[in-house]
Amino acid sequence: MTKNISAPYIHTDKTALAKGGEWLVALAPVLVWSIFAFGARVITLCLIAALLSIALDYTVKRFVFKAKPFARIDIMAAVYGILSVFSMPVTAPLWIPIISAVLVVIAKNIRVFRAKRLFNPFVFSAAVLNLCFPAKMTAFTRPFAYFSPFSFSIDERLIDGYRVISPLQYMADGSVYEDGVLAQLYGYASGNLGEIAVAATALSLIWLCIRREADWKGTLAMLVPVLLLALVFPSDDAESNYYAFSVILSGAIVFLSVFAVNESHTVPVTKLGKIIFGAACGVLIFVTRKIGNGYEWGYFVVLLMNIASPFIEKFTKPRVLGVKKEK
Amino acid sequence: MILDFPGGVRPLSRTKLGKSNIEYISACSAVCIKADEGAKTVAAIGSRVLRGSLIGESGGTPVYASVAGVFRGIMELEDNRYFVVMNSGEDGEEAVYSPESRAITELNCADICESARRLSVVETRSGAPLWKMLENANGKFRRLVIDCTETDASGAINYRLCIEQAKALVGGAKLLLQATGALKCVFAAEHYRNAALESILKYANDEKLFAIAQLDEKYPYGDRAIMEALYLTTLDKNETAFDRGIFIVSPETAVALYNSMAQGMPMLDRYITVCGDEIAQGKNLCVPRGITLHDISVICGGIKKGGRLIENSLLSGKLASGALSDCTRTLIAAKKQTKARTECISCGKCADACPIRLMPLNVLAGDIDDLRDNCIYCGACEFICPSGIPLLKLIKKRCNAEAEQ
Ligand code: SF4
Ligand code: SF4
Repeated sequence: MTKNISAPYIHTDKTALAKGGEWLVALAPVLVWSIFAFGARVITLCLIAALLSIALDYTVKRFVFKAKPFARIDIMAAVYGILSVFSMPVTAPLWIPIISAVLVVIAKNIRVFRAKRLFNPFVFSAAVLNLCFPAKMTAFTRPFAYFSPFSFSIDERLIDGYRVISPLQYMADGSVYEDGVLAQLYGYASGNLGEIAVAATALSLIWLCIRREADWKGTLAMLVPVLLLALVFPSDDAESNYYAFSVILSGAIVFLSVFAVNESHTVPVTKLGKIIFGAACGVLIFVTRKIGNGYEWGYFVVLLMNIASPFIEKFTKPRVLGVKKEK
Repeated sequence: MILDFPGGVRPLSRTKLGKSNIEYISACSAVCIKADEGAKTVAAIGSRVLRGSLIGESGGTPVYASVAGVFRGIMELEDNRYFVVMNSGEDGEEAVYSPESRAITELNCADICESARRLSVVETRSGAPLWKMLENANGKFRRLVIDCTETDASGAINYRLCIEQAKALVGGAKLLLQATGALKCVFAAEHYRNAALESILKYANDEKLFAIAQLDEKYPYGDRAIMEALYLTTLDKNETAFDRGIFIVSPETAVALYNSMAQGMPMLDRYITVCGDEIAQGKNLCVPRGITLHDISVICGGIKKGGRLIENSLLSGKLASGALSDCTRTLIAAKKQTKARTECISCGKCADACPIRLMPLNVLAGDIDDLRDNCIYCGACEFICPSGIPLLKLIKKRCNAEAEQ
């Protein structure tokens, strides 16, 4: 019998390469809103990060890892590049996306335990950038104040003219954002490019779930604890309901709960593991926010959980059918 | 309610043969009926035999010629031994037997068991002789399950049998109930095959005896999946449904048992679906037992270049060779599909698809403890993997490599 012929003789037509396409579509609503709110500079930032990520990723695979038979162009690199731009303010100078692309490619190609990625690429980039250039990464401006898409870095005085305090920064001072929950939901509040567009992010999640790229349970598992904790530990300054929704809608919580929790390489493969991962992220983000004076700790929390995810996966391995539990 | 089991994969498309009637074929160039080590010939080698005449004995079961022609004795072909009867293509006469005269209710377990042996009825899910399964069955079984699911999404023969042979099917079920002592018979089929279940219910109108179950449209269906779906129980490793008192048979077995006993004629025919992209014309067929694959491909207009016949399932089936085996219910002509392999994206789809709840992707990291002990080689994981990773092949390779050490 011919050796190299074996079952199965049929495969799904879905390919891993198509995954990049699905994710690009998923990013579209957020991107559209972001361009609407912050203008054409968003396009420049995204293009730089996306194209550079693809090019670098290909180079690394081809020449550093010597991928066999040959390296493929991975659209996911562009997706991660764009996602990394989503956690920058619009005022970021154009060298920031260049650095973020490098960071994304580094994180994308670090493989450790069980060929898993150690860190989520775009969260890694956001975290490092926040650590190294805090001033540049928190220069929030009012939405609909458009900046030139081509000026390499934006004049400080120009930024100051439009500078506002983001909802998250309000919260650090013990107060809440006053313009209402709806403004935050639709994305009229200030903040990072992609993170403000909560409603658009929800659309992305729906698309990803329809295409079976995401599991809404993990996302929900991250949001619900935050909401509950915010209700239990309200701020003195505001109605407890209002505060709770403000907490969820500010900063990167929704953004991370959709895009980071569903990044398959860095979260546990098991269903229960995903839920645990999400819930742990939610709790830790809330705790760090309470004690960590308004900084966006979400990125670091996710990275921490990324490291923990292989262990979560081990513990949540489903019981093999038909095998009695060993005592 | 649609019953479900853990894991499994949804087929890419439904069969196109659900509406085509079973074609009855009686002429073919040769038949090769499997013989075991101690098989003996009864008819003289070189003599002319009728369709239905006794030609030998294998494993305690008599063997009958399924076509009229010249008996060639026992031959060895590709590691298997076969009783071979050559036929020049003409319809021969049939041997004459007298039908069972007693009513079903007068028969007891031993009678039916003996009839099944004498009439050489096989259980077509496993290919084992039915009488061996029925031996001492009385009282051991609680339920009889007629598994009307197809072995592959492209098959339709069980569906056609339910529609065209509903009377015989229900008659066979009554006989098996009598023989096994089971209290109730369940007909289980994929949920979109209501027509089949309805046509069965026309004859099986005794609610105390018969029930129907609609199963989800997922594959692979085996004992384990059926137990999960119907009885919410998990079979232990190495345990069969039999050990739990559930007697599962294919509809073909029931039909064959009933028809054979009613006519007194041994089981000479097999019901199969021949389908697939690589065959000229897909058909539901009733063919002589042991028909050669060559004859089958001629009946269906020939196999296209590069195509091969796969037994039972595209997910896990083996390449068919030689003659139709007793446990083949679907023959699918297919090409090996190759899918470009990329790196694992940790999507977890393979783990979701595994009916045993294993983590097939662990094979990539060399962690194969669970896989080695429990994998049933169903192929669902490799089917679903979007990265085109040959998981089943890897699992087999790794496990065999370890076993050899
Ligand atoms: S082949 Fe083995 S590991 Fe793969 S799905 Fe089937 S039982 Fe699970
Ligand atoms: S289905 Fe394929 S790509 Fe997805 S986790 Fe399993 S092996 Fe990896």
